[in-house]
Amino acid sequence: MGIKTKHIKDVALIAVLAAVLFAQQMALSFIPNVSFTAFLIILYTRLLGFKKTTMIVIVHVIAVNLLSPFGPVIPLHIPSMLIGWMLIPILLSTVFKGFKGVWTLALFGLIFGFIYGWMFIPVSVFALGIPFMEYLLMDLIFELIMGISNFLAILWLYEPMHKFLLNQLQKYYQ
Amino acid sequence: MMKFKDTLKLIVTLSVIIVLIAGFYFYRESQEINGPGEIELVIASENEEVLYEDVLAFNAGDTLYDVLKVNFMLTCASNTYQADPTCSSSFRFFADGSTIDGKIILGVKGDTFEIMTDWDKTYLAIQVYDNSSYRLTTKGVSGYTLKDGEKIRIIVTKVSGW
Repeated sequence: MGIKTKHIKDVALIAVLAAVLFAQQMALSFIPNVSFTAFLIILYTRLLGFKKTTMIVIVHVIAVNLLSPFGPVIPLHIPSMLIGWMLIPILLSTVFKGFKGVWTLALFGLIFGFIYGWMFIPVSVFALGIPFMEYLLMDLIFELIMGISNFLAILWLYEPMHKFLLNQLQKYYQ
Repeated sequence: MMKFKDTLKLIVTLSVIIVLIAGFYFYRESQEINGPGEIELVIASENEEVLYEDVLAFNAGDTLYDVLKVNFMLTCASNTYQADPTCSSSFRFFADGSTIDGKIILGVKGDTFEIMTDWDKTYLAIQVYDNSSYRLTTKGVSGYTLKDGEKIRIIVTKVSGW
């Protein structure tokens, strides 16, 4: 396969996987903080690597803020959102590079639910003036919901999805 | 036959779900039921000038939004955060253990005053008087549980940086 063809395939793949990420988040948005977003970003990181996953995350954050029927997050929170989701490829490509088993990734997803929530604290406290303790306490239940949904999604779906997508990717790049 | 790792996954999943349901149940049970009663409402401008101050009655189960809607003309946020005087748009919030269709208020108009915010540069902060100072509530107008005798202030607040 030529380099040009491979790049075209890469771009198409990034677009399709970002669309999947966006669609599932919108479809599940009626349940607060429950989505497969963290699970899919973890899956993409393990299958596609850091660079392509970064592109998918950037497209996803832009799409959520431009196209969501629920409206964008307030502009000050967009960097928090981007950094929050980017932490998955960054951490899984560096300090947690060895996390490949389903249980370690599920635990990572559980803890990530809290970390993602904390990403919004600096802007909320320092820029919007929301009191730190009130914010932290009110957000805990949402972080817990996100952590548990991440944990269960990874626990049950990671292995079959990884196997399925790996197989599809091999066919796609043949 | 089910493999050991699948059995383990199933046990962990069921344990998590049971703990979650139990936690949710006890959380809901611990929530207070409000009213009927009275609250003291203060509406203030950005520089803390009091524009309105009065005692308002509320019925059992009323939210702060219900009380405001009865006593004032409200301008809410539409789904794109534009001013919507009809208050027809709702936002899905999580409050007291369940999701609610909540409102975001941008403006309040009374007989003698009017305040308006734009969400981007200014917003209406809801504060409750506690220990001789005002502190922000952790819930919005549709989720806040009113308590008899408490003092609430709605104040125009500038978003930092503007």
